[in-house]
Amino acid sequence: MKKISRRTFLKGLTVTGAAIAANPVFDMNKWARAQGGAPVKLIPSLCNGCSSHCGMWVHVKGDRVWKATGHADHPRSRGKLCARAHGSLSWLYDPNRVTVPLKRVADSFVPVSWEEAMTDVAARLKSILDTAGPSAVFYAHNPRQTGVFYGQRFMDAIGAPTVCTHNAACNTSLTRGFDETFGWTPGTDMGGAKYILCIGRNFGEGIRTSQATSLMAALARGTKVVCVDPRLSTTAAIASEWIPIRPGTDLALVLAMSNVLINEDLYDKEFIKNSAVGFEEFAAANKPFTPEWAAPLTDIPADTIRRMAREMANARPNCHIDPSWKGAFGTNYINSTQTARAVGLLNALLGNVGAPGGLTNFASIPFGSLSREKHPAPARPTIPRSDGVGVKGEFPLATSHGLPHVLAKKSMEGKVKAGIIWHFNPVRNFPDRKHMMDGYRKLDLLVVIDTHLRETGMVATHILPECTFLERGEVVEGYPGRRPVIATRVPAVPKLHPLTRSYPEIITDLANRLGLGRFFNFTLDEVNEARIAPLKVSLATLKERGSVILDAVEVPPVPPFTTASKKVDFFSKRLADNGFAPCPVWEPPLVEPDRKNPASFRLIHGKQGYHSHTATISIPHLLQISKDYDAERLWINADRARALGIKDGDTVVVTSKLASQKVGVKVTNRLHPEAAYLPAGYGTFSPFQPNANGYGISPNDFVPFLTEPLVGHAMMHEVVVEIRKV
Amino acid sequence: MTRKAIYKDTSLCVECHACRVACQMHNSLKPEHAYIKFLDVEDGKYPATTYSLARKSCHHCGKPACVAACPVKAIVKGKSELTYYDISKCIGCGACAAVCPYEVPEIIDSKAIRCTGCPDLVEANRSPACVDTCITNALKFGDRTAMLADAEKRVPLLKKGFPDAALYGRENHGGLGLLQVLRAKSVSFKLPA
Repeated sequence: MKKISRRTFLKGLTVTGAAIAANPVFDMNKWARAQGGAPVKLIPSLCNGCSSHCGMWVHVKGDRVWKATGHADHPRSRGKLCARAHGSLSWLYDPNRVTVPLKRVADSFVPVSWEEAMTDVAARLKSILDTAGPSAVFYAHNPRQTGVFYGQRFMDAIGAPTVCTHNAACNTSLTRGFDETFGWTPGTDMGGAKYILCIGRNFGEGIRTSQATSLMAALARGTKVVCVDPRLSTTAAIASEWIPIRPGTDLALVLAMSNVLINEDLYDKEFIKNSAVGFEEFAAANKPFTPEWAAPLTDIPADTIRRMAREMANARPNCHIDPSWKGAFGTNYINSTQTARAVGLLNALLGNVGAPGGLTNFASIPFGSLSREKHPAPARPTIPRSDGVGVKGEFPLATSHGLPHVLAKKSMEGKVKAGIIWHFNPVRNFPDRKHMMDGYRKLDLLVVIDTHLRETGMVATHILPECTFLERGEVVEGYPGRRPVIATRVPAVPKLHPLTRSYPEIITDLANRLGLGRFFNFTLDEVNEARIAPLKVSLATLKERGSVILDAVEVPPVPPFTTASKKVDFFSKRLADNGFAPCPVWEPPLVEPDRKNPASFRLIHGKQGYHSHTATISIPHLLQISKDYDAERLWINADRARALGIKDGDTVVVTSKLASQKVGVKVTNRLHPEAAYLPAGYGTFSPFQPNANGYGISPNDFVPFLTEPLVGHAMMHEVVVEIRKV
Repeated sequence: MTRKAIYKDTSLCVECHACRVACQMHNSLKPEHAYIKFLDVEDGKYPATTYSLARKSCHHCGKPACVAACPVKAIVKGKSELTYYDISKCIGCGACAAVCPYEVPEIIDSKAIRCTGCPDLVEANRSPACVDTCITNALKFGDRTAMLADAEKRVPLLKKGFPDAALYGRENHGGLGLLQVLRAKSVSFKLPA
């Protein structure tokens, strides 16, 4: 058997071997001609191009997956699919898939049998559990139902509480901010809105398909859509208005808009009286934050701030500030959690909760569960988590989505020794490459389950090859709403590589080897039958249709708040008790570019509509879009570029305390002068993605390991870089 | 069959490239073979910046020069009056590229890279693959008269913010089967007036 040297990984050399699929590059044109007349079957599935999991129909021609179309009944696709959905089909036939289990031996990966891999994984895991205890073990994934069910149950079975997701590099500030305000994170009714304010939310490039459809439908109808963003994104470009803002100061804008509503008596007094607590404290704390105060901080004129507040007041309650994802108040700044709080409260001042065009929150779908008699469930462990979540003195208010970047530190400290990671790439997608690589490499056991060998796999002890989403079923997903929907995947084709396995197969096998098989004595079909039993839909129907719309549910005029007070908390006692501002007040960003240095910028990043982080970069049809438009370039404001003698298309060196890397430049008037903008999907360094390896650079190489004090997120825009022409 | 047209309202397009990749999958194309590309114009100085788009793909001319020029009849005028293209017949001679007023066809791997018109879908009364997938409904498909009416309703609304907004394709080359509402002057996209 051919060995694959781990040293060669780090040199960035291309490596080939029996471990990676020996699948010759497929000539689509030739195949299409040969298959011209073959019958086409339509199989329902859920996309895996991002974690939205849009419903799709997979068109199978002959024995091959041909194309996909959107599923009309799925609430996230509504008959449409984005570029990533179409492109992700080619994962199935990708010659760079992992097709057999791999085990690290010294500096190499060696292909091994499943028996050898699983025996070894089980023995090492048992030994770590016996010697270091379950707190030394973590599990991390992108949280969708199959992982939430099987992964959580496995962790419960071994008594380990540390389950993590990608969210600390995505949206934990908004989750905590809204939870402290309403008790939940709202959705929105774009269809009924007269005015939609997007602060950092970019529906056209951070795509959930049906949200993009809804926003543009609103725009086409004449709804006013205002985008606050340091960058003229493709969404801001077609919005009614673009309000450029100095990065990291969104909190000041939101506080000042609230100030106008209060001072000019424009807020919804009835709603505040009936449904809120702590308004007086909030109003008192808000007094200094006038539009004139916010203008120099945000670079937005005071009159514009006042006008926006008045326009929203005129439109209330049929208007909202979008709850967003990552951009302005997800995980980018030290003030993101308080910004999310302030956005929640500004919505509340507009009295829009439950109103047409306002915020929504729907009851979860009443799924069933396996019979506890036949299928005993393990108890949820009660020992503290190992990533500091919920731990006094660490991150008591962090969310249950966990802190994968803190785990790297805990590993270096010897407190965490084993991890299981499913289809998730924290080493590349959290800041500080060395911190993440060193921490995860030091683990005694790191099992990565994935279709491809990505950066996290490079430091694993074992790689377990997964079949793609087109070759497997899934635990049924649910989408609450006025008309709730349930959906699942059906295998579109048999496994292309017979030695690949699905995640439930792998976890069940591992549980059996640890003597915990009693907690996994069921099939995936049995899980799903139990899950949908109360919903009056048969599994056969669901598998035939893929997405099924359930009966309409009654929606109360105002969804019940689930905070401690059962009202909207303008004053958060919990935040106060933990030493944080109970009412949002201004907090500056952690770092600031040096205004005296013409080469100093804040490095910000965002998504492109045809990539999902670095997961899709090696998909040939999507990578080609990047190449056709040089889309990996760093954006710099035209005036700033001129002062540095930088022209469009030049190569520059970007330098932070951590790294110095070269990249091409896009010189543009679409960006705030203080920011340098990088699209976030590039900078892959796994040699097992040879077509994408080395294409573009990643912001994560420049940002140091940081933890926001309140929820511990990675503060991914808190970095200053110098940019110089090569 | 009445004359059909694809209508693109560029004021709703977010440049997500779903149309391009849906087309590539439907037509089983290599990544480098893109039948749909974008043209863009950035205008104005920060912060008074605008960014506008146009589609670069076959314009489905009413009087297509390429059909007459193609020596092997790989390009034909279809029943829908869209210009259909059969890549398997193409000999890569470049005659279509030489006469196209929009410089659309590229010759890559000895084949002309240009829209097929999706005859299999269109003649079954379905939308072309690009229109079917469009996540913002910037793309619509139907009878050309209906598409023209839709487009003409949209222009005055856009003129408020974009005085140069106009419909492109009503008369050009016998009237185009790709109608676009543009926010910037067509010449700024190098589209001939």
